Amino acid sequence: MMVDVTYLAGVKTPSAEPMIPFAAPVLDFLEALSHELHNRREELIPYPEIKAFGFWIRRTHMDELKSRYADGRIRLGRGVTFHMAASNVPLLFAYSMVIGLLAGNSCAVRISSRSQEQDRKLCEIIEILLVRQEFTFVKKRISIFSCDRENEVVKDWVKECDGLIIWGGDEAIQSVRRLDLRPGGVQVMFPDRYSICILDLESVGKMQEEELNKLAYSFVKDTYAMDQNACSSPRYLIWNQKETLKKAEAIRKKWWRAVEKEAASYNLTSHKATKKYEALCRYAMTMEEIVEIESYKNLVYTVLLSDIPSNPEQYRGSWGLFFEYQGYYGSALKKLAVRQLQTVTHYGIQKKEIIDYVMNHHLYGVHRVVPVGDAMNMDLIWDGQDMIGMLSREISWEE
Amino acid sequence: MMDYKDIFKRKPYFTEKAEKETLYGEWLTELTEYHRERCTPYGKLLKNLKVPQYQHMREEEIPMLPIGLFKDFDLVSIPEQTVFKTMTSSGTSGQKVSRIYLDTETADYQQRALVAIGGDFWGDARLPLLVIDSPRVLKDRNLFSARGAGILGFSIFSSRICYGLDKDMNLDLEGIELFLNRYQGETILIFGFTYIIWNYFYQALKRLGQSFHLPKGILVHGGGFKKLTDQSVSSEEFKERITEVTGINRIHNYYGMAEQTGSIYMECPFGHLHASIYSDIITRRAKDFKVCSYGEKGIIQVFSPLAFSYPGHSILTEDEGVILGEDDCPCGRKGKYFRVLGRIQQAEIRGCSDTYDG
Repeated sequence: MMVDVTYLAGVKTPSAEPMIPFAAPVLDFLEALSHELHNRREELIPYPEIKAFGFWIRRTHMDELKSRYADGRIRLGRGVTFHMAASNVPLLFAYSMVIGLLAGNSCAVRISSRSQEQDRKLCEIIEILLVRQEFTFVKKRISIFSCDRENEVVKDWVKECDGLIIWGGDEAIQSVRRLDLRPGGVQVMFPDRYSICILDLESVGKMQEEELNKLAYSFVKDTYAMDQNACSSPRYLIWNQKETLKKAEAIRKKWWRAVEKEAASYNLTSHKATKKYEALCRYAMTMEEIVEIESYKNLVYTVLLSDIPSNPEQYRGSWGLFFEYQGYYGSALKKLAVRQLQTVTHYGIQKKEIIDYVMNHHLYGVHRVVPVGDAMNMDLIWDGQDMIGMLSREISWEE
Repeated sequence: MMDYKDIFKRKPYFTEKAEKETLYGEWLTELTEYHRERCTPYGKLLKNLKVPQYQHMREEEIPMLPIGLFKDFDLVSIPEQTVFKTMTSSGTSGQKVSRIYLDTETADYQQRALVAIGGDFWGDARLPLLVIDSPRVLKDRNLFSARGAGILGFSIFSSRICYGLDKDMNLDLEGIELFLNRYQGETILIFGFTYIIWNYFYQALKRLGQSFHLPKGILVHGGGFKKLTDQSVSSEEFKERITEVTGINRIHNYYGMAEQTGSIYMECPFGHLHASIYSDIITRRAKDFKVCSYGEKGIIQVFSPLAFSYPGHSILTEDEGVILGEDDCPCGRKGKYFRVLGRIQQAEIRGCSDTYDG
């Protein structure tokens, strides 16, 4: 049955013809889309996420990604990939689809019936491009539709597709796993994750005001932009310091005041404010490790801990609620690096040092180490999974 | 120790701003200290929020407890064996409900407050009471909730009770007519939850093409318009329609919650909800929880000096409202008067976990 399915872009049934990764028609289409979005920048002012997406698919960036796979190996797409993305991350469906296309596949993409305005807007623009004659070929490789999760169409695609990509956390994954899957298909799943930030106290202490504000701005981009609810938004802030420094408190407070300033335009609604205060009280009533709670208006709540709690992934800061720890970053990282720890953003410590620590201590978590400000940047390797590798097949050969 | 004798010596709507501010500062500071020592999680909360100890606080400085916490924590300041009654908030099945632990004293204070407030509106004489609900609400332990407590609370005003709905929530037209005939020409009190009155009484009468003639009836209803705004029924329309089918002119909405039973906020003939000496209200801004000006929409915080067995004397609700003024309502009642705008609207929350998906 095809009831309650709205087709938003492309065709109903995409053609299943595997192509090489980063094939020219795909790159040309993305380039045209990037230009189109740029040309419509006035119209797209209310949708900053679309602008960021347009920038991500620009030709130079796509070519750069392509060059990463110029390793002499022979790859070909798998056929049709089916994508289901969390509706409350704007444009996630589009990033997922682009990656499916880049890997050499045709893409069926289901977006939620409760999808957001910017999702629909982007679909409209994609469709405008796809009806152009030059993109007839790409059009046949794309099907974006909207329906609810229980729809038969979803079950059919889950069963038929050669590659299944699920963004949406543990619950979404479990419900899909109960469905009938193609035995030979691949699945790329993104379960619940959490992230942290490590700042070197002395380095932050030495920063000039302007620099500090810049760093705070980057930190706000990583956190408040997604209500601090994205997997890659830091919830813990680790202050790396060898010994307890007298000036530590002053540096920390200066930092949070800078964050408060940079987050000033954040829309803290009554709903968020009450729920956030409730969460703070809940932690205040139950956590054993609390040294001090500070608030900077209702915009920033900080909970300084004497130790990292066991099950650190269960402490969820949202809308600007941060857990802090001060001490040697390594001992904190060791406790924080449970399976769910995804991204570590850092300033004042070399990434190599952090990665070496993860390697030498055989840690479960940490899938990504990036500078403060890059937490939200999408990449082909996500959660430790190389999506191009997984969504294409490699043809091995011998002379 | 709190001087409850003094509180109950006062009439509900006679205390003016300056005096009430002084009293509430004293009472609430004292209650905060009292609960800090007796309710461990509450004490821990205050310590972590750095609420100063042994220091006089003004009403607006009293720490606020988010209403949602009553759903997850047993917040109680009395030994277990002195718990006399556990109140639960209404909630649909599967939803968590608040649990409020009362000892005999607190339950008594709450009832006395309700009697005094009701008395101010319709006098001290007991009246025939028509309850628009099913008697099953009281019998079935699983249903006993804010609804049951409301009915029990209001039965204190009754000389005789009639339930207007049968066990399956059908309108018992015959029973109601019999009851009304017996008290023809007398003042009668009609009580029920807003959405139950609308869905099971008004709608049923409409369907049957029936109406009553009760010019001396007083209808009191509470519980909120949330379930009715889905059907886009406003407070004004509710009144108009009820008057249409019952002839009742005196209709009072009230604002109250299981977490502060008894000290309800009654609506006066000018359509304003009123704080009494047993309660107070502040509205706060989302941005910094600063107190709103009169006329400015904000998050509602409620106070009651009656919360003695549990730390519920200062609660941050999930409702929004507007305080219209203090001491100068044309109805003559002293204290703040306000309007409730309803539940805070849930914002769309971003995040990778697709729990809100459809």
